Amino acid sequence: MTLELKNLGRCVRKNWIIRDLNLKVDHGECLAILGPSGCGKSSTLRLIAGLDRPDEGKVFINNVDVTDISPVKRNVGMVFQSYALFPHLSVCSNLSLGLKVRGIGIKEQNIRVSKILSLMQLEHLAKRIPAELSGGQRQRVALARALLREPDVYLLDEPMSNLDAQLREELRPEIRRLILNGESPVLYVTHDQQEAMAMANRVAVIKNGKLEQIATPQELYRNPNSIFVASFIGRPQINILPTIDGVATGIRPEHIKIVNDGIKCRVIHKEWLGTNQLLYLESTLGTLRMTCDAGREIAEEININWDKKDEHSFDKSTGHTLNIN
Amino acid sequence: MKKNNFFVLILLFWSLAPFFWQVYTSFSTTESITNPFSYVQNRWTLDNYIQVLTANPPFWRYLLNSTIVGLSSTGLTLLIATPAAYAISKSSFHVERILRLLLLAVSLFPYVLLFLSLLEIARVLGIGNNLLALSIPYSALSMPLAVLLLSSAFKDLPKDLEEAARIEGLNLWQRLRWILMPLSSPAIASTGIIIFLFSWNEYPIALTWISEVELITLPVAIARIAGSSLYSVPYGAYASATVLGSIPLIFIVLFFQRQIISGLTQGAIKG
Repeated sequence: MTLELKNLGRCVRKNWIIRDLNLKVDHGECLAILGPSGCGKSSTLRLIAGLDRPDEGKVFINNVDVTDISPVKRNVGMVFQSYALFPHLSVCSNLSLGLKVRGIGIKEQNIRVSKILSLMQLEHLAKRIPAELSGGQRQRVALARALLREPDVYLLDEPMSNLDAQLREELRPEIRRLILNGESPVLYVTHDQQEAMAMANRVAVIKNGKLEQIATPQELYRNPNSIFVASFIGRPQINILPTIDGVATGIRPEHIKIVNDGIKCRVIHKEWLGTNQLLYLESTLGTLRMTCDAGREIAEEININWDKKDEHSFDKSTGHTLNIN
Repeated sequence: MKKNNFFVLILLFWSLAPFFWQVYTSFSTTESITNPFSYVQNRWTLDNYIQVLTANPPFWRYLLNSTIVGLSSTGLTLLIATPAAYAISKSSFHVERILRLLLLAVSLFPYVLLFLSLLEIARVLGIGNNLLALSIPYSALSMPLAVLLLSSAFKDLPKDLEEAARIEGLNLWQRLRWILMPLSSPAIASTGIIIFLFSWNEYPIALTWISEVELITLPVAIARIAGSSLYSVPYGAYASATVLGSIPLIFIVLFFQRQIISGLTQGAIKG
């Protein structure tokens, strides 16, 4: 099963929310769409689900053009940021409604619903209505609803952004186990780079409705093709040094080393992060961030340096990466 | 808190006192009605009720007529107004604004001005003296307000819910039936009550469309009682007819109020 977008574009009031989007999600692959809020990532999902009509381009599911097919007939499973559970129906009816309107018999409905309930460990909540569930439980019901119909494509729209950090970490393996290990392609929209890196096989970074870069998480981290991608991927954020001859240099905080002889810096602030610490340095190159071992004693004045090979060079005017080699 | 209670009491007195006076009158003899503050030997009586209920045709006949008209007008209006309201709530911004303004203008129009032309229509079509036909002008007149109320109720529902339903594979009618109507049931119930009350209380059209005594509705019947004698005003009978006519309404409103409240708490979740 595959999902393919060709030249996809949507225009609202003469404003292109998303344009020239080309991507392909393979059988069993999870592609994360990453970008700041308002960049068009949720709009992309809506186009794939059929909730909005594209003004340009086509959507293919399993190599079939579904651009003109209503969402009612496209077999996609979607998890909304707000979960969008039907508030007047019990967990059980929330799940079985989709089967019922497809004309599946009561017996078959019950078998499939109870199978999914036990898979998600929700059996004891079957009779409750959404208002009586916690955030994490609602999220699991929303996932169960998407899973139940065995859709051709999964669309997850910021599925965990309403949950607290601890719950998110608990749910990640569960989402991986249930959805990402299946056969259907998964599109996972998020603004959290860490979540994207953790969940996806490949990540598409989107900025202002345009695809900025699409690659594996490792590739995005090592070889970002613009300042935007470099700043978006990796925490703490990359340092961008002052521009010389139209070239901006980027160096990641984790690549800066303390040396005996190098750039002189004054430590203005320390943040302890557990296994390491984040130092804010003042130097002739401006304010820099660097990380080092948490146990290390840091003097007030230090000398730093880094390997030339860890540098990223960007064309300041376009923001694109320069190939020096 | 105490101050609030005091105002509530004043408000209750203000709105309920006339009704209680009517109840009091309905149980009083003619003598005590005309001398409310002096001693009367036989102050209390059930005669007024007996008179109204044993008249020909008996009073329950009018109650039945009004119920038939009320239910059919309410049903017909909701049947047409619900899809119309959905369509308006899904229209583009400008279209919706224009339609809403038009509906508002129409619903503010004094309908009494229409009853002569309506009568003419009934005559031409030969649908006078027909209870179900009476629900046609009634639902036409309550339609603008019903559509306005229901369309804002549909608009208030979270968009995600309907979209989730589309993805679940529910077509338009299934979404209306399983998602939109249950979720806006409080609004549908209160709209229904408004329509029912209108048709229950409506006088000029009922008076002109229906001439057979067996078929007249409550307001017309009560007016007939009030004007039944040239020489006296039968206050007692009039009051008991009013009380009898209000009882079904009170029960209907009480019943639906429970629906409305439970509907509100059910819908009280987002995200």
